[in-house]
Amino acid sequence: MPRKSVCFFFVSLVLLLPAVSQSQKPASKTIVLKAARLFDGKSNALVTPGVVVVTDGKIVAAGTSAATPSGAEIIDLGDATLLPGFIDAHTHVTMMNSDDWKQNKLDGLQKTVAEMALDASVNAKVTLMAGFTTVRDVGSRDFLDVGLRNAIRNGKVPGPRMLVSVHAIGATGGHCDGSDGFRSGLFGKETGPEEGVVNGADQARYAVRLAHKYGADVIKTCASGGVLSPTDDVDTPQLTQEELNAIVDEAHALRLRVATHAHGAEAAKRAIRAGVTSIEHGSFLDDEALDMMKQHGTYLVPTLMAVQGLQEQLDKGVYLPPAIEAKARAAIAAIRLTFQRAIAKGVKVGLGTDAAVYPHGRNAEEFHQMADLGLKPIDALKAGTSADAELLGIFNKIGTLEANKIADVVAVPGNPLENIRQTEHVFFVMKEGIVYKNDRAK
Amino acid sequence: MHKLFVFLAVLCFAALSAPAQQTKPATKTYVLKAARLFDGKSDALVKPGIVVVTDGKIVAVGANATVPAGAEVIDLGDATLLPGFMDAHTHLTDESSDDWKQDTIAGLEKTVAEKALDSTVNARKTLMGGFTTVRDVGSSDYLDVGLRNAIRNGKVVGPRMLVATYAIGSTGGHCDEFAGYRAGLFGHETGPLQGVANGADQIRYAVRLAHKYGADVIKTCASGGVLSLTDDVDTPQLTQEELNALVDEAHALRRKAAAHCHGAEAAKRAIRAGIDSLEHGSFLDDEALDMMKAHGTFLVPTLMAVVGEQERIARGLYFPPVILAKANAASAAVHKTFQTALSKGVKIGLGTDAAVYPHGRNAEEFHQMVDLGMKPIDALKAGTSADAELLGLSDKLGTLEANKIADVVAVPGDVVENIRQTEKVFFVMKEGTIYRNDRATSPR
Repeated sequence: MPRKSVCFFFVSLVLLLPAVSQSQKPASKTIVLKAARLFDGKSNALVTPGVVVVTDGKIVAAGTSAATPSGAEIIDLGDATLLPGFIDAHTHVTMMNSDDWKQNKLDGLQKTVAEMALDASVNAKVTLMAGFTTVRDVGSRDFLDVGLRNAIRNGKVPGPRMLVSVHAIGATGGHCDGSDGFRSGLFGKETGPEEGVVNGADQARYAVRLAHKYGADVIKTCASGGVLSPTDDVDTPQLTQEELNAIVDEAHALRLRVATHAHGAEAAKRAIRAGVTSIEHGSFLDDEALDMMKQHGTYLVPTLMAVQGLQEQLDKGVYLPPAIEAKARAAIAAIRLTFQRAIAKGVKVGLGTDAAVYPHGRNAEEFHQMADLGLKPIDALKAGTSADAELLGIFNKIGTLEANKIADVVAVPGNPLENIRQTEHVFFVMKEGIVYKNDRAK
Repeated sequence: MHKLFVFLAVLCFAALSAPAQQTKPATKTYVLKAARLFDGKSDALVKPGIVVVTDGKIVAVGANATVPAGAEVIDLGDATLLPGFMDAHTHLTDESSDDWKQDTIAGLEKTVAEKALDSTVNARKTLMGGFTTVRDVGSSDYLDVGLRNAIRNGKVVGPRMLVATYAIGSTGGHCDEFAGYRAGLFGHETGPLQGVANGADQIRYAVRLAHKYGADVIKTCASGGVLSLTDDVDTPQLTQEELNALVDEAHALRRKAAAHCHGAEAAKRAIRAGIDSLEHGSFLDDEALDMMKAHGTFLVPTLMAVVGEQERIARGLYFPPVILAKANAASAAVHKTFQTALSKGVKIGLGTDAAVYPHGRNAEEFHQMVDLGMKPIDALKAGTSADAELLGLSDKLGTLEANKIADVVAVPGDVVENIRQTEKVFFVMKEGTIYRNDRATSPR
């Protein structure tokens, strides 16, 4: 294969060139990615073959053919499909998944913030390596998410691009009140707006302002109860219409979108009326709520992997506090049916998994979970790329393989439309033009 | 009978090799070979060098060590094997860039989480430079505790750490982290929770707090310092009673005590109190050095701190003027003091004050000490067995001997003939895991 040796010769030259100039601007670097197929993130079919030309972290051309600039490094991934880097619209990268509920709870009390941040870096890396180059992280503590986002952005640790929410905003004793079932007075004072716990529209507005002040890229709110919170019912509405209105109003004024945890239908309707961008989970949404979502353009982020994670723990006989176990079973029973009704009504769906409720790194299983319930594979792929980019408000830069977008590109073996589970075998990960993973490299 | 034996043997092998879900991982033996070996304590190198490591422990050392069947042999060629290096004075969780003002501002703006993640870069560089153990002597917000634990739990790559949490000193002293800001800015004065204490009782409380929150070693500031904004570099900042209380409480809790100390008066108070080591020691006089010799107190000269400061000065980088003056005064004195300490036979531990110079250049301390007259073999001991003794880890670390933990590094050539080879570590093993091997053939 003489042409290949010539190619490798040029490749080595190109790779040697940057070593020559120590402190000047790095030489322009072009990489050409080739594979048997390409999904651009928004079209209704794959193209064959696929090529993406990347220069200095930006896509300059993508499609079935493109000119290969001289001096470019060529990476031929063979019988594979190129896709935009995956997006997960619902993660908790800074929280730990564990089969030992009690130890996890104790760790939350005993570990230093520093150690929690370092533990989180492991989750960040495994998420990126699974092909998820962007995540919307919707709930953390002690600004772990801000620190992780920044350290990744500054190249200190590998991980996905993160949009963070700092602290989720909810009512006293609600799903997002981090007091977590401990007795009154234990921590010296009640939780308040500085931890995202609010009562009344004014306090809700204050909490949005605090989150924004301390680095939030997105506002998360808890409109209803939840499964994993120890003291509430899973579906009750926990914020009033006025409180949700204030949250959304202030968030939008500050150019932040609002993601809303909501299992119950009444809670969801209040949130939709207030103008939230997405409903997370949505286990018990009724037809009226789904119709409102369709009308308002509100996204549903079903987090089917959360349900999968809980089901696996129940099957393994892992200890869950009895109240939580009961709520888990109720949500599991309902959420899949609700999702199917949502698809049938044409509600917009974004891919989000609730990472931490299942082990980090298995995010891509959400694709098949949605496809198994009837979402067309091409639509599942869109949910995890262009639709999520639109949900996150970053569609101008990310979410498709098109000229002028940021070069977040992943590859899976074979054809993910023929077998959606190929998404779980990402073997190539590029983020902003840097290759983080290439299992097919020589 | 023979057939029965074979049958049983086959059964036995089958049982041993049958994949079982929850059994212990298979035992793993490495044999490290090189042209030479420094065991950490002998006065000369051994040729050739062989170290046999099984499951993270050294089982045999020396030319006649038996090589077990099934061992993985790693031949490092024309090199010297040594015990993993130790640095008795680091600040892995501190950053120092070329921009002093930006570092100061970042110190106020960055979340604790981001600082913790930034420090992983320092930890990795330090390990890759051959330093498998460090005594980290001053941090804030328990960044050091978090980093130590994350490394220990295999979450991040770095050296084994002994940590101090907050260094303990007086109000306005070298270890008062609010010194230099206007009064009232942070809502409260620094106190024992940040290591600032006044009076023997508060000092004792501060030691107890440090121990409570994870300290492996107690660090104190007995005198002023170079890089602090409001104090003279050499004044004694703790009374004899305060230092007595500190060392007494530390030793009661089985923690050693290290004292930052430039000035002679401060040093003598600390030595009398029973301090285990003096750090820097720029202006120690003969009396102080004689007391150290008599008490067995270690000196940790941190010559790389001087290098770091002088490099910045030479490059015209900004230092606050008060600090610039103090840096020049200390630099002028410390080399002479070190040479006097050597001639008097004071025990020397290798420690560098990492962060005051760029992380990862720790090994340059070896040649810094040798250039001032220390014998190369003694410099190597300072960074291995002597430091292990200072850190209280001699039973497990610091030498290449059977039953010690397998921390092993390799440098090219003969490190005694050229001490600067220590700066070219190309093989790093910590607890039997290989973190670096530049001479490995391409992966399987």
